[in-house]
Amino acid sequence: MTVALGLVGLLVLLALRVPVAAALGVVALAAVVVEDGIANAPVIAAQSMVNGVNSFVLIAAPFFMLAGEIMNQGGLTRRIYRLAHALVGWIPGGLGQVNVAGSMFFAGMTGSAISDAVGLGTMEIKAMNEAGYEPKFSAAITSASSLLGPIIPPSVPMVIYGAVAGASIGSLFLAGVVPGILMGGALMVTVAIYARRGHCPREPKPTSTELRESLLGAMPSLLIPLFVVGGIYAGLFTPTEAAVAACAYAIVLATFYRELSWAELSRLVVRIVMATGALFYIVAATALLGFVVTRSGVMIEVALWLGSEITSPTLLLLIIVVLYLLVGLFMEPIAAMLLLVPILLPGVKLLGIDLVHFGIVTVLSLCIGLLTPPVGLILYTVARIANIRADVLAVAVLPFLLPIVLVLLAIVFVPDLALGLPRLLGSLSAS
Amino acid sequence: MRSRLGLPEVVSIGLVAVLFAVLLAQVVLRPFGLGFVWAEEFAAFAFIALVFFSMAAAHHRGEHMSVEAFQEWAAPRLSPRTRRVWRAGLLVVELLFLVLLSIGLGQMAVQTWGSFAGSLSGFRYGWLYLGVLAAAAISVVALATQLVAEIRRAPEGSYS
Repeated sequence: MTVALGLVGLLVLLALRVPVAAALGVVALAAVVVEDGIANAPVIAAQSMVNGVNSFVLIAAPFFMLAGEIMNQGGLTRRIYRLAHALVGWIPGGLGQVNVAGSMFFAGMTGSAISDAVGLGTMEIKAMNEAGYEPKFSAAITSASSLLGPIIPPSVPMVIYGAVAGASIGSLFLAGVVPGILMGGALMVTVAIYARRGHCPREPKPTSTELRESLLGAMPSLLIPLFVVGGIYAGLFTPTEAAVAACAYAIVLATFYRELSWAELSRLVVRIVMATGALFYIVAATALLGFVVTRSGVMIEVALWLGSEITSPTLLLLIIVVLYLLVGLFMEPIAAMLLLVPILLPGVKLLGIDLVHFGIVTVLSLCIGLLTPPVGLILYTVARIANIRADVLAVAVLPFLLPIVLVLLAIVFVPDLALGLPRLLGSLSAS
Repeated sequence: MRSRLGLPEVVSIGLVAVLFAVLLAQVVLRPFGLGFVWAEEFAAFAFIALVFFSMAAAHHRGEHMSVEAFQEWAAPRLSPRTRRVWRAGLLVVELLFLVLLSIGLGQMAVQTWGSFAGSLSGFRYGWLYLGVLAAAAISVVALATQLVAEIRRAPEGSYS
Protein backbone atom coordinates (compact mmCIF):
# COMPACT_ATOMS: atom_id res chain seq x y z
CA MET A 1 0.00 0.00 0.00
CA THR A 2 2.80 2.41 1.00
CA VAL A 3 4.66 1.53 -2.20
CA ALA A 4 1.55 2.16 -4.34
CA LEU A 5 0.96 5.50 -2.63
CA GLY A 6 4.60 6.38 -3.10
CA LEU A 7 4.42 5.55 -6.80
CA VAL A 8 1.35 7.76 -7.28
CA GLY A 9 3.05 10.54 -5.31
CA LEU A 10 6.15 10.21 -7.46
CA LEU A 11 4.16 10.42 -10.70
CA VAL A 12 2.29 13.50 -9.44
CA LEU A 13 5.51 15.27 -8.43
CA LEU A 14 7.17 14.41 -11.75
CA ALA A 15 4.13 15.69 -13.67
CA LEU A 16 4.24 18.93 -11.68
CA ARG A 17 7.84 19.34 -12.88
CA VAL A 18 9.60 18.77 -9.58
CA PRO A 19 13.16 17.80 -10.64
CA VAL A 20 13.45 14.00 -10.96
CA ALA A 21 16.00 13.68 -8.14
CA ALA A 22 13.99 15.83 -5.73
CA ALA A 23 10.77 13.96 -6.58
CA LEU A 24 12.46 10.62 -5.84
CA GLY A 25 13.99 12.01 -2.66
CA VAL A 26 10.77 13.59 -1.37
CA VAL A 27 8.74 10.41 -1.88
CA ALA A 28 11.42 8.25 -0.23
CA LEU A 29 11.88 10.69 2.64
CA ALA A 30 8.11 10.79 3.23
CA ALA A 31 8.10 6.98 3.48
CA VAL A 32 11.03 7.07 5.93
CA VAL A 33 9.24 9.69 8.05
CA VAL A 34 6.14 7.44 8.21
CA GLU A 35 8.20 4.40 9.22
CA ASP A 36 10.91 5.89 11.44
CA GLY A 37 9.58 9.28 12.52
CA ILE A 38 10.73 12.78 11.65
CA ALA A 39 13.62 12.63 14.15
CA ASN A 40 15.39 9.72 12.43
CA ALA A 41 14.47 10.43 8.83
CA PRO A 42 17.14 13.07 8.05
CA VAL A 43 20.00 10.82 9.22
CA ILE A 44 18.69 7.88 7.20
CA ALA A 45 18.35 10.13 4.13
CA ALA A 46 21.85 11.55 4.52
CA GLN A 47 23.46 8.17 5.07
CA SER A 48 21.62 6.45 2.20
CA MET A 49 22.30 9.24 -0.30
CA VAL A 50 26.00 9.51 0.51
CA ASN A 51 26.39 5.71 0.42
CA GLY A 52 24.51 5.63 -2.90
CA VAL A 53 27.33 7.48 -4.64
CA ASN A 54 30.16 5.96 -2.60
CA SER A 55 31.41 3.84 -5.47
CA PHE A 56 34.78 3.83 -7.19
CA VAL A 57 33.21 2.37 -10.35
CA LEU A 58 30.75 5.26 -10.78
CA ILE A 59 33.66 7.70 -11.21
CA ALA A 60 34.09 6.24 -14.71
CA ALA A 61 30.83 7.82 -15.93
CA PRO A 62 31.78 11.54 -15.84
CA PHE A 63 35.21 10.81 -17.29
CA PHE A 64 33.79 8.83 -20.23
CA MET A 65 31.43 11.77 -20.84
CA LEU A 66 34.37 14.20 -20.65
CA ALA A 67 36.36 12.07 -23.11
CA GLY A 68 33.46 12.36 -25.58
CA GLU A 69 33.30 16.13 -25.17
CA ILE A 70 37.07 16.48 -25.70
CA MET A 71 36.87 14.35 -28.85
CA ASN A 72 34.08 16.53 -30.22
CA GLN A 73 35.92 19.75 -29.46
CA GLY A 74 39.41 18.51 -30.27
CA GLY A 75 38.93 17.46 -33.89
CA LEU A 76 38.91 13.70 -33.27
CA THR A 77 35.24 13.41 -34.19
CA ARG A 78 35.84 15.21 -37.51
CA ARG A 79 38.58 12.76 -38.43
CA ILE A 80 36.34 9.82 -37.59
CA TYR A 81 33.62 11.31 -39.80
CA ARG A 82 36.12 11.65 -42.66
CA LEU A 83 37.08 8.00 -42.33
CA ALA A 84 33.45 6.86 -42.26
CA HIS A 85 32.83 9.02 -45.34
CA ALA A 86 35.68 7.38 -47.24
CA LEU A 87 34.67 3.87 -46.18
CA VAL A 88 30.92 3.84 -46.80
CA GLY A 89 29.91 7.15 -48.42
CA TRP A 90 29.84 5.60 -51.87
CA ILE A 91 27.42 2.73 -51.08
CA PRO A 92 23.62 3.15 -51.49
CA GLY A 93 22.41 5.53 -48.80
CA GLY A 94 25.48 7.78 -49.10
CA LEU A 95 25.75 10.11 -46.15
CA GLY A 96 23.07 8.13 -44.28
CA GLN A 97 25.51 5.22 -44.20
CA VAL A 98 28.33 7.58 -43.20
CA ASN A 99 26.12 8.71 -40.35
CA VAL A 100 25.70 5.17 -38.99
CA ALA A 101 29.33 4.12 -39.56
CA GLY A 102 30.58 7.34 -37.94
CA SER A 103 28.43 6.65 -34.88
CA MET A 104 29.75 3.09 -34.67
CA PHE A 105 33.34 4.34 -34.60
CA PHE A 106 32.50 7.19 -32.25
CA ALA A 107 30.59 4.87 -29.89
CA GLY A 108 33.85 3.06 -29.31
CA MET A 109 35.32 6.19 -27.80
CA THR A 110 32.56 7.71 -25.74
CA GLY A 111 29.79 6.18 -23.71
CA SER A 112 26.75 8.33 -24.21
CA ALA A 113 24.12 8.89 -26.87
CA ILE A 114 23.89 12.61 -26.23
CA SER A 115 27.62 13.07 -26.86
CA ASP A 116 27.19 11.35 -30.23
CA ALA A 117 24.06 13.30 -31.13
CA VAL A 118 25.49 16.70 -30.23
CA GLY A 119 29.07 16.27 -31.46
CA LEU A 120 29.04 14.00 -34.47
CA GLY A 121 25.33 14.65 -35.10
CA THR A 122 25.76 18.38 -35.65
CA MET A 123 28.43 17.67 -38.28
CA GLU A 124 26.41 14.91 -39.94
CA ILE A 125 23.15 16.85 -40.17
CA LYS A 126 24.91 19.88 -41.65
CA ALA A 127 26.67 17.72 -44.29
CA MET A 128 23.49 15.81 -45.15
CA ASN A 129 21.35 18.94 -45.46
CA GLU A 130 23.96 20.60 -47.69
CA ALA A 131 23.98 17.50 -49.91
CA GLY A 132 20.22 17.79 -50.38
CA TYR A 133 18.93 15.15 -47.97
CA GLU A 134 15.55 15.73 -46.36
CA PRO A 135 16.20 17.41 -42.97
CA LYS A 136 13.84 15.02 -41.21
CA PHE A 137 15.70 12.00 -42.67
CA SER A 138 19.07 13.46 -41.61
CA ALA A 139 17.72 14.10 -38.11
CA ALA A 140 16.04 10.69 -37.85
CA ILE A 141 19.11 8.65 -38.79
CA THR A 142 21.30 10.84 -36.54
CA SER A 143 18.94 10.22 -33.61
CA ALA A 144 18.72 6.48 -34.22
CA SER A 145 22.45 5.97 -34.74
CA SER A 146 23.27 7.91 -31.57
CA LEU A 147 21.82 4.95 -29.61
CA LEU A 148 24.95 3.03 -30.61
CA GLY A 149 26.83 5.25 -28.11
CA PRO A 150 25.61 3.49 -24.95
CA ILE A 151 25.68 -0.01 -26.54
CA ILE A 152 29.12 -0.22 -28.13
CA PRO A 153 31.71 -0.01 -25.30
CA PRO A 154 32.55 2.05 -23.36
CA SER A 155 29.11 2.90 -22.05
CA VAL A 156 28.02 5.20 -19.24
CA PRO A 157 24.68 3.39 -18.63
CA MET A 158 26.53 0.06 -18.47
CA VAL A 159 28.89 1.46 -15.82
CA ILE A 160 25.90 2.53 -13.75
CA TYR A 161 24.05 -0.76 -14.32
CA GLY A 162 27.19 -2.67 -13.31
CA ALA A 163 27.42 -0.68 -10.08
CA VAL A 164 23.72 -1.21 -9.28
CA ALA A 165 23.48 -4.89 -10.23
CA GLY A 166 26.96 -5.95 -9.18
CA ALA A 167 27.78 -7.19 -12.69
CA SER A 168 31.30 -7.10 -14.17
CA ILE A 169 31.71 -3.92 -16.18
CA GLY A 170 34.44 -5.49 -18.31
CA SER A 171 32.04 -8.30 -19.27
CA LEU A 172 29.23 -5.81 -19.93
CA PHE A 173 31.51 -3.83 -22.25
CA LEU A 174 32.46 -6.98 -24.17
CA ALA A 175 28.80 -8.06 -24.30
CA GLY A 176 27.85 -4.78 -25.97
CA VAL A 177 30.13 -5.28 -28.98
CA VAL A 178 28.07 -7.76 -31.04
CA PRO A 179 24.65 -6.14 -30.30
CA GLY A 180 26.18 -2.77 -31.25
CA ILE A 181 27.51 -4.11 -34.55
CA LEU A 182 24.14 -5.78 -35.23
CA MET A 183 22.32 -2.52 -34.53
CA GLY A 184 24.67 -0.61 -36.82
CA GLY A 185 24.20 -3.23 -39.54
CA ALA A 186 20.41 -3.16 -39.17
CA LEU A 187 20.38 0.64 -39.40
CA MET A 188 22.58 0.53 -42.52
CA VAL A 189 20.20 -1.95 -44.19
CA THR A 190 17.28 0.37 -43.33
CA VAL A 191 19.14 3.33 -44.85
CA ALA A 192 19.84 1.29 -48.00
CA ILE A 193 16.12 0.42 -48.29
CA TYR A 194 15.24 4.10 -47.82
CA ALA A 195 17.82 5.01 -50.49
CA ARG A 196 15.93 2.94 -53.08
CA ARG A 197 12.85 5.11 -52.58
CA GLY A 198 14.07 8.47 -51.38
CA HIS A 199 16.62 11.09 -52.26
CA CYS A 200 19.99 9.72 -51.15
CA PRO A 201 22.75 10.84 -53.49
CA ARG A 202 25.80 8.57 -53.42
CA GLU A 203 29.17 10.08 -52.75
CA PRO A 204 31.99 9.42 -55.21
CA LYS A 205 34.16 6.40 -54.45
CA PRO A 206 37.31 7.56 -52.64
CA THR A 207 40.69 7.26 -54.29
CA SER A 208 43.20 5.03 -52.56
CA THR A 209 45.08 8.16 -51.45
CA GLU A 210 41.92 9.63 -49.86
CA LEU A 211 41.20 6.33 -48.15
CA ARG A 212 44.74 6.02 -46.83
CA GLU A 213 44.85 9.63 -45.62
CA SER A 214 41.50 9.39 -43.84
CA LEU A 215 42.53 6.10 -42.24
CA LEU A 216 45.85 7.52 -41.07
CA GLY A 217 44.09 10.66 -39.80
CA ALA A 218 41.59 8.66 -37.75
CA MET A 219 43.97 5.91 -36.63
CA PRO A 220 45.09 7.58 -33.36
CA SER A 221 41.42 8.07 -32.39
CA LEU A 222 40.54 4.50 -33.32
CA LEU A 223 43.08 3.23 -30.80
CA ILE A 224 40.91 4.53 -27.94
CA PRO A 225 38.35 1.69 -27.91
CA LEU A 226 41.18 -0.82 -28.24
CA PHE A 227 43.00 0.40 -25.19
CA VAL A 228 39.83 1.03 -23.14
CA VAL A 229 38.27 -2.41 -23.69
CA GLY A 230 41.61 -4.19 -24.15
CA GLY A 231 43.10 -2.53 -21.07
CA ILE A 232 40.17 -3.51 -18.86
CA TYR A 233 40.08 -7.03 -20.31
CA ALA A 234 43.83 -7.48 -19.87
CA GLY A 235 43.59 -6.26 -16.27
CA LEU A 236 45.84 -3.26 -16.95
CA PHE A 237 43.31 -0.88 -15.44
CA THR A 238 39.88 -0.67 -13.88
CA PRO A 239 36.96 0.85 -15.86
CA THR A 240 37.41 4.08 -13.87
CA GLU A 241 41.11 4.28 -14.69
CA ALA A 242 40.32 3.43 -18.32
CA ALA A 243 37.95 6.41 -18.48
CA VAL A 244 40.61 8.73 -17.05
CA ALA A 245 43.23 7.32 -19.42
CA ALA A 246 40.86 7.83 -22.39
CA CYS A 247 40.43 11.46 -21.32
CA ALA A 248 44.18 11.96 -21.04
CA TYR A 249 44.75 10.40 -24.45
CA ALA A 250 42.02 12.57 -26.01
CA ILE A 251 43.58 15.69 -24.45
CA VAL A 252 47.02 14.74 -25.82
CA LEU A 253 45.61 14.16 -29.33
CA ALA A 254 43.48 17.33 -29.30
CA THR A 255 46.49 19.35 -28.13
CA PHE A 256 48.64 17.76 -30.84
CA TYR A 257 46.00 18.71 -33.43
CA ARG A 258 46.04 22.26 -31.93
CA GLU A 259 42.26 22.20 -31.59
CA LEU A 260 41.84 22.45 -27.81
CA SER A 261 42.75 25.47 -25.71
CA TRP A 262 42.71 25.69 -21.91
CA ALA A 263 39.65 27.94 -22.07
CA GLU A 264 37.78 25.34 -24.16
CA LEU A 265 38.87 22.52 -21.88
CA SER A 266 37.62 24.36 -18.78
CA ARG A 267 34.32 25.07 -20.57
CA LEU A 268 33.97 21.33 -21.28
CA VAL A 269 34.74 20.49 -17.65
CA VAL A 270 32.02 22.90 -16.49
CA ARG A 271 29.58 21.16 -18.84
CA ILE A 272 30.53 17.78 -17.38
CA VAL A 273 30.19 19.15 -13.85
CA MET A 274 26.60 20.17 -14.68
CA ALA A 275 25.83 16.76 -16.17
CA THR A 276 27.42 15.03 -13.15
CA GLY A 277 25.34 17.10 -10.74
CA ALA A 278 22.10 16.42 -12.60
CA LEU A 279 22.78 12.70 -13.08
CA PHE A 280 24.28 11.69 -9.75
CA TYR A 281 21.81 13.69 -7.65
CA ILE A 282 19.30 11.25 -9.17
CA VAL A 283 21.59 8.30 -8.36
CA ALA A 284 21.86 9.47 -4.73
CA ALA A 285 18.11 10.03 -4.38
CA THR A 286 17.39 6.64 -5.94
CA ALA A 287 19.63 5.04 -3.32
CA LEU A 288 17.33 6.47 -0.65
CA LEU A 289 14.29 5.16 -2.52
CA GLY A 290 16.08 1.82 -2.88
CA PHE A 291 16.47 1.68 0.90
CA VAL A 292 12.71 2.23 1.31
CA VAL A 293 11.76 -0.29 -1.37
CA THR A 294 14.17 -2.94 -0.02
CA ARG A 295 12.88 -2.55 3.52
CA SER A 296 9.24 -2.73 2.37
CA GLY A 297 9.88 -6.26 1.11
CA VAL A 298 8.31 -5.44 -2.23
CA MET A 299 11.35 -6.79 -4.09
CA ILE A 300 10.97 -10.19 -2.47
CA GLU A 301 7.23 -10.14 -3.20
CA VAL A 302 7.90 -9.25 -6.85
CA ALA A 303 10.56 -11.98 -7.07
CA LEU A 304 8.25 -14.59 -5.52
CA TRP A 305 5.37 -13.54 -7.74
CA LEU A 306 7.54 -13.67 -10.84
CA GLY A 307 8.92 -17.04 -9.75
CA SER A 308 5.45 -18.50 -9.29
CA GLU A 309 3.78 -16.95 -12.35
CA ILE A 310 6.62 -16.99 -14.87
CA THR A 311 8.90 -19.94 -15.38
CA SER A 312 10.50 -19.00 -18.67
CA PRO A 313 13.48 -16.59 -18.53
CA THR A 314 12.71 -15.44 -22.09
CA LEU A 315 9.11 -14.63 -21.19
CA LEU A 316 10.26 -12.68 -18.15
CA LEU A 317 12.73 -10.70 -20.27
CA LEU A 318 9.98 -9.95 -22.80
CA ILE A 319 7.69 -8.66 -20.06
CA ILE A 320 10.54 -6.55 -18.68
CA VAL A 321 11.29 -5.16 -22.16
CA VAL A 322 7.66 -4.05 -22.51
CA LEU A 323 7.82 -2.47 -19.03
CA TYR A 324 11.08 -0.69 -19.91
CA LEU A 325 9.70 0.59 -23.21
CA LEU A 326 6.63 1.99 -21.44
CA VAL A 327 8.63 3.54 -18.60
CA GLY A 328 11.14 4.87 -21.14
CA LEU A 329 8.39 6.98 -22.64
CA PHE A 330 8.22 9.02 -19.45
CA MET A 331 11.60 8.71 -17.74
CA GLU A 332 15.23 9.35 -18.52
CA PRO A 333 16.95 5.94 -19.03
CA ILE A 334 19.44 6.09 -16.16
CA ALA A 335 16.81 7.28 -13.66
CA ALA A 336 14.48 4.48 -14.82
CA MET A 337 17.31 1.96 -14.56
CA LEU A 338 18.19 3.01 -11.02
CA LEU A 339 14.56 2.74 -10.02
CA LEU A 340 13.63 -0.54 -11.71
CA VAL A 341 16.75 -2.71 -11.75
CA PRO A 342 16.92 -3.23 -7.95
CA ILE A 343 13.22 -4.21 -7.94
CA LEU A 344 13.54 -6.62 -10.87
CA LEU A 345 16.91 -8.09 -9.95
CA PRO A 346 15.75 -10.74 -7.43
CA GLY A 347 13.23 -12.13 -9.94
CA VAL A 348 15.85 -12.12 -12.70
CA LYS A 349 18.31 -14.00 -10.49
CA LEU A 350 15.61 -16.45 -9.43
CA LEU A 351 15.07 -17.49 -13.04
CA GLY A 352 18.80 -17.80 -13.64
CA ILE A 353 19.09 -14.99 -16.19
CA ASP A 354 22.70 -13.91 -16.62
CA LEU A 355 23.18 -10.42 -15.15
CA VAL A 356 25.33 -9.36 -18.11
CA HIS A 357 22.59 -10.46 -20.56
CA PHE A 358 19.99 -8.66 -18.44
CA GLY A 359 22.23 -5.58 -18.43
CA ILE A 360 22.45 -5.39 -22.22
CA VAL A 361 18.65 -5.86 -22.53
CA THR A 362 18.11 -3.19 -19.85
CA VAL A 363 20.42 -0.60 -21.38
CA LEU A 364 19.14 -1.07 -24.93
CA SER A 365 15.42 -1.14 -23.97
CA LEU A 366 15.63 1.96 -21.80
CA CYS A 367 17.79 3.88 -24.27
CA ILE A 368 15.07 3.45 -26.92
CA GLY A 369 13.09 5.85 -24.71
CA LEU A 370 15.60 8.55 -25.70
CA LEU A 371 13.90 8.57 -29.13
CA THR A 372 10.27 8.54 -28.01
CA PRO A 373 8.08 11.43 -26.85
CA PRO A 374 7.14 12.90 -24.43
CA VAL A 375 10.53 12.53 -22.64
CA GLY A 376 12.92 11.74 -25.49
CA LEU A 377 16.09 13.67 -24.73
CA ILE A 378 17.78 12.79 -28.04
CA LEU A 379 14.60 13.59 -29.95
CA TYR A 380 14.47 17.16 -28.64
CA THR A 381 18.23 17.70 -28.87
CA VAL A 382 18.48 16.56 -32.49
CA ALA A 383 15.28 18.38 -33.48
CA ARG A 384 16.87 21.58 -32.20
CA ILE A 385 20.15 20.89 -34.06
CA ALA A 386 18.29 20.07 -37.30
CA ASN A 387 15.87 22.96 -36.82
CA ILE A 388 12.77 20.82 -37.28
CA ARG A 389 9.80 20.17 -35.02
CA ALA A 390 10.17 17.38 -32.45
CA ASP A 391 6.82 15.83 -33.45
CA VAL A 392 7.98 15.67 -37.10
CA LEU A 393 11.17 13.95 -36.00
CA ALA A 394 9.24 11.57 -33.71
CA VAL A 395 7.38 10.27 -36.79
CA ALA A 396 10.46 10.27 -39.05
CA VAL A 397 12.45 8.18 -36.57
CA LEU A 398 9.83 5.38 -36.45
CA PRO A 399 11.24 3.38 -39.43
CA PHE A 400 14.60 3.32 -37.65
CA LEU A 401 13.11 2.16 -34.37
CA LEU A 402 11.90 -1.04 -36.01
CA PRO A 403 15.39 -2.50 -36.71
CA ILE A 404 16.56 -1.48 -33.24
CA VAL A 405 13.60 -3.26 -31.62
CA LEU A 406 14.25 -6.31 -33.82
CA VAL A 407 17.86 -6.43 -32.63
CA LEU A 408 16.62 -6.09 -29.04
CA LEU A 409 14.27 -9.05 -29.52
CA ALA A 410 17.08 -11.06 -31.12
CA ILE A 411 19.23 -10.41 -28.01
CA VAL A 412 16.35 -11.49 -25.75
CA PHE A 413 15.79 -14.76 -27.66
CA VAL A 414 19.47 -15.51 -28.36
CA PRO A 415 21.47 -14.58 -25.24
CA ASP A 416 24.69 -15.70 -26.95
CA LEU A 417 24.52 -12.62 -29.16
CA ALA A 418 25.47 -10.67 -26.06
CA LEU A 419 27.22 -13.36 -24.01
CA GLY A 420 29.16 -15.08 -26.81
CA LEU A 421 32.08 -12.65 -26.93
CA PRO A 422 32.69 -12.36 -23.16
CA ARG A 423 32.48 -16.17 -22.94
CA LEU A 424 34.85 -16.60 -25.86
CA LEU A 425 37.38 -14.33 -24.22
CA GLY A 426 36.98 -16.03 -20.87
CA SER A 427 35.44 -12.99 -19.19
CA LEU A 428 32.27 -14.99 -18.37
CA SER A 429 31.89 -18.63 -17.52
CA ALA A 430 29.55 -20.68 -19.73
CA SER A 431 26.30 -21.66 -18.02
CA MET B 1 23.92 29.31 -19.23
CA ARG B 2 25.67 31.76 -16.90
CA SER B 3 29.24 32.49 -17.87
CA ARG B 4 30.68 33.47 -14.42
CA LEU B 5 31.69 30.59 -12.20
CA GLY B 6 30.25 30.39 -8.70
CA LEU B 7 31.78 28.66 -5.65
CA PRO B 8 30.23 25.21 -6.31
CA GLU B 9 31.43 25.28 -9.92
CA VAL B 10 34.98 26.21 -8.85
CA VAL B 11 35.07 23.49 -6.16
CA SER B 12 33.67 20.92 -8.61
CA ILE B 13 36.23 21.79 -11.29
CA GLY B 14 38.96 21.48 -8.68
CA LEU B 15 37.66 18.06 -7.64
CA VAL B 16 37.52 16.85 -11.27
CA ALA B 17 41.13 18.01 -11.72
CA VAL B 18 42.28 16.28 -8.51
CA LEU B 19 40.45 13.04 -9.41
CA PHE B 20 41.95 13.14 -12.89
CA ALA B 21 45.48 13.73 -11.57
CA VAL B 22 45.35 11.05 -8.85
CA LEU B 23 43.79 8.35 -11.05
CA LEU B 24 46.09 9.09 -13.97
CA ALA B 25 49.12 9.01 -11.70
CA GLN B 26 47.89 5.68 -10.37
CA VAL B 27 47.70 4.26 -13.93
CA VAL B 28 51.11 5.61 -14.91
CA LEU B 29 52.97 4.72 -11.71
CA ARG B 30 51.48 1.28 -11.01
CA PRO B 31 53.67 -0.61 -13.53
CA PHE B 32 56.71 0.76 -11.66
CA GLY B 33 55.37 -0.48 -8.33
CA LEU B 34 54.71 3.10 -7.20
CA GLY B 35 50.89 3.05 -6.96
CA PHE B 36 49.14 4.80 -4.07
CA VAL B 37 47.45 2.58 -1.49
CA TRP B 38 45.06 5.40 -0.62
CA ALA B 39 44.10 6.34 -4.21
CA GLU B 40 40.88 4.33 -4.45
CA GLU B 41 39.45 5.45 -1.11
CA PHE B 42 40.52 9.04 -1.73
CA ALA B 43 38.92 8.97 -5.19
CA ALA B 44 35.66 7.59 -3.80
CA PHE B 45 35.50 10.38 -1.17
CA ALA B 46 36.44 13.07 -3.70
CA PHE B 47 33.74 11.75 -6.01
CA ILE B 48 31.09 11.98 -3.26
CA ALA B 49 32.10 15.61 -2.72
CA LEU B 50 32.05 16.18 -6.50
CA VAL B 51 28.53 14.77 -6.80
CA PHE B 52 27.12 17.09 -4.14
CA PHE B 53 29.04 20.22 -5.18
CA SER B 54 28.06 19.65 -8.81
CA MET B 55 24.48 19.15 -7.58
CA ALA B 56 24.76 22.60 -5.98
CA ALA B 57 26.24 24.00 -9.21
CA ALA B 58 23.32 22.56 -11.17
CA HIS B 59 20.92 24.15 -8.65
CA HIS B 60 22.70 27.47 -9.21
CA ARG B 61 22.15 27.21 -12.94
CA GLY B 62 18.76 25.47 -12.85
CA GLU B 63 20.06 22.48 -14.80
CA HIS B 64 18.45 19.59 -12.93
CA MET B 65 16.43 17.15 -15.03
CA SER B 66 12.66 17.35 -14.87
CA VAL B 67 9.72 16.04 -16.87
CA GLU B 68 8.25 19.02 -18.70
CA ALA B 69 5.51 17.45 -20.82
CA PHE B 70 2.57 18.12 -18.47
CA GLN B 71 3.78 21.59 -17.55
CA GLU B 72 4.11 22.57 -21.22
CA TRP B 73 0.54 21.44 -21.80
CA ALA B 74 -0.95 22.95 -18.65
CA ALA B 75 0.93 26.21 -18.17
CA PRO B 76 -0.62 28.20 -21.04
CA ARG B 77 -4.07 27.32 -19.65
CA LEU B 78 -3.36 28.78 -16.21
CA SER B 79 -3.52 32.34 -14.95
CA PRO B 80 -0.18 34.12 -14.31
CA ARG B 81 -0.91 34.05 -10.57
CA THR B 82 -1.46 30.25 -10.56
CA ARG B 83 1.73 29.75 -12.56
CA ARG B 84 3.69 31.79 -10.00
CA VAL B 85 2.24 29.73 -7.16
CA TRP B 86 3.15 26.57 -9.07
CA ARG B 87 6.75 27.68 -9.60
CA ALA B 88 7.09 28.78 -5.98
CA GLY B 89 5.59 25.46 -4.84
CA LEU B 90 8.21 23.50 -6.79
CA LEU B 91 10.98 25.45 -5.09
CA VAL B 92 9.41 24.98 -1.64
CA VAL B 93 9.17 21.19 -2.14
CA GLU B 94 12.82 20.90 -3.09
CA LEU B 95 13.90 23.33 -0.38
CA LEU B 96 12.15 21.29 2.31
CA PHE B 97 13.85 18.14 1.08
CA LEU B 98 17.29 19.74 1.03
CA VAL B 99 16.84 21.32 4.47
CA LEU B 100 15.97 17.92 5.97
CA LEU B 101 18.90 16.36 4.12
CA SER B 102 21.22 19.07 5.49
CA ILE B 103 20.04 18.38 9.03
CA GLY B 104 20.77 14.68 8.48
CA LEU B 105 24.22 15.46 7.06
CA GLY B 106 25.01 17.56 10.11
CA GLN B 107 23.90 14.74 12.42
CA MET B 108 25.99 12.24 10.47
CA ALA B 109 29.04 14.53 10.71
CA VAL B 110 28.68 14.53 14.50
CA GLN B 111 28.02 10.77 14.70
CA THR B 112 31.01 9.82 12.53
CA TRP B 113 33.48 12.37 13.90
CA GLY B 114 35.32 9.70 15.88
CA SER B 115 35.63 7.28 12.92
CA PHE B 116 38.64 7.34 10.63
CA ALA B 117 39.05 6.19 7.03
CA GLY B 118 41.02 2.99 6.41
CA SER B 119 43.85 3.94 4.08
CA LEU B 120 43.68 7.74 4.40
CA SER B 121 45.41 8.13 7.72
CA GLY B 122 43.92 10.84 9.92
CA PHE B 123 40.89 11.44 7.70
CA ARG B 124 37.71 11.61 9.78
CA TYR B 125 34.46 10.48 8.14
CA GLY B 126 32.90 13.55 9.74
CA TRP B 127 34.86 15.75 7.34
CA LEU B 128 33.26 13.98 4.40
CA TYR B 129 29.78 14.68 5.77
CA LEU B 130 30.74 18.27 6.56
CA GLY B 131 31.86 18.76 2.95
CA VAL B 132 28.60 17.34 1.64
CA LEU B 133 26.71 19.51 4.15
CA ALA B 134 28.47 22.60 2.76
CA ALA B 135 27.37 21.65 -0.77
CA ALA B 136 23.78 21.01 0.35
CA ALA B 137 23.76 24.37 2.17
CA ILE B 138 24.84 26.11 -1.04
CA SER B 139 21.93 24.40 -2.82
CA VAL B 140 19.54 25.58 -0.09
CA VAL B 141 20.77 29.17 -0.46
CA ALA B 142 20.47 29.00 -4.27
CA LEU B 143 16.90 27.70 -4.09
CA ALA B 144 15.91 30.16 -1.35
CA THR B 145 17.23 33.01 -3.48
CA GLN B 146 15.21 31.76 -6.45
CA LEU B 147 12.12 31.49 -4.23
CA VAL B 148 12.48 35.07 -3.00
CA ALA B 149 12.94 36.27 -6.60
CA GLU B 150 9.84 34.32 -7.59
CA ILE B 151 7.74 35.86 -4.82
CA ARG B 152 8.95 39.36 -5.71
CA ARG B 153 8.44 38.87 -9.44
CA ALA B 154 5.68 40.97 -11.08
CA PRO B 155 2.49 38.86 -11.34
CA GLU B 156 2.08 39.45 -15.08
CA GLY B 157 5.48 37.86 -15.84
CA SER B 158 5.35 35.31 -18.62
CA TYR B 159 5.92 31.63 -17.95
CA SER B 160 9.39 30.32 -18.64
